[in-house]
Amino acid sequence: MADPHPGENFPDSTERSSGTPRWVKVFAAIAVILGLLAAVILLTGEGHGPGRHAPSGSSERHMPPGMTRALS
Amino acid sequence: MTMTPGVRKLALTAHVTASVGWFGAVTVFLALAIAGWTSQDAQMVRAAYLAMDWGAWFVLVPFAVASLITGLVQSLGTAWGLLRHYWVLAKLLLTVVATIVLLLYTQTLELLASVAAATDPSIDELTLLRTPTVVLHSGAALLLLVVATVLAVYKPRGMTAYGRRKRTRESARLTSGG
Repeated sequence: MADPHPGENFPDSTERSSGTPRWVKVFAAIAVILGLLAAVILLTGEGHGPGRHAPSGSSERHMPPGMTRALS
Repeated sequence: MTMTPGVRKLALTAHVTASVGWFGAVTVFLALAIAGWTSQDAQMVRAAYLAMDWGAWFVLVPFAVASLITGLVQSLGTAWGLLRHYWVLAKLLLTVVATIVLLLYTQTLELLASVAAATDPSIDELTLLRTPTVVLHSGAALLLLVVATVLAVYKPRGMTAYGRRKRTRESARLTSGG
């Protein structure tokens, strides 16, 4: 029994594509741009690793009353 | 190595389950990240980061790896192949990138969770937790998974050069075989 929706669940054997489709070029361009953006952030930022989240040394512990109550 | 129809449906079920599970987990993660970023309740903020750290290792990572593996099985066991069609290749790259970034990001989540778990965090440490970074990463992951889903459903046309060569060879073999 022939597949009722050819190409939907199986590759279309009659596909005649001979070049790179436009959507692939757009997809690749976006990927390259995002990749370059990520590289710039990683290389020029203060650091993209978890270390940038580390608190900078000890700090005086002054907590407003509301915060103290919330943490208890 | 083409799978029988029954096995193919089983593999497809596994892949869809893993992928949808991953999507759902990231959505919950995003909600927790928003809570951690915006809530004024310190207990809520700390709980969100503790939950995200645990959830990343026990929910996100397993679903991501399962989606990747089942996707590989699906592609290699069907006529679509892994490298023959651009939509399959694009989905593979998206999944690999998302999984790698997730694994690397667990370090950040562990650090944030350690701050959240501190018995007497300072104001600076609590302020540290109110960061949009997890929201941004979760949002980006969600977008990436949506794109992968669109590719999987619409299967846009386009064969790679490898796919075209493979198809030509297979056609020639069928023709010569009579």
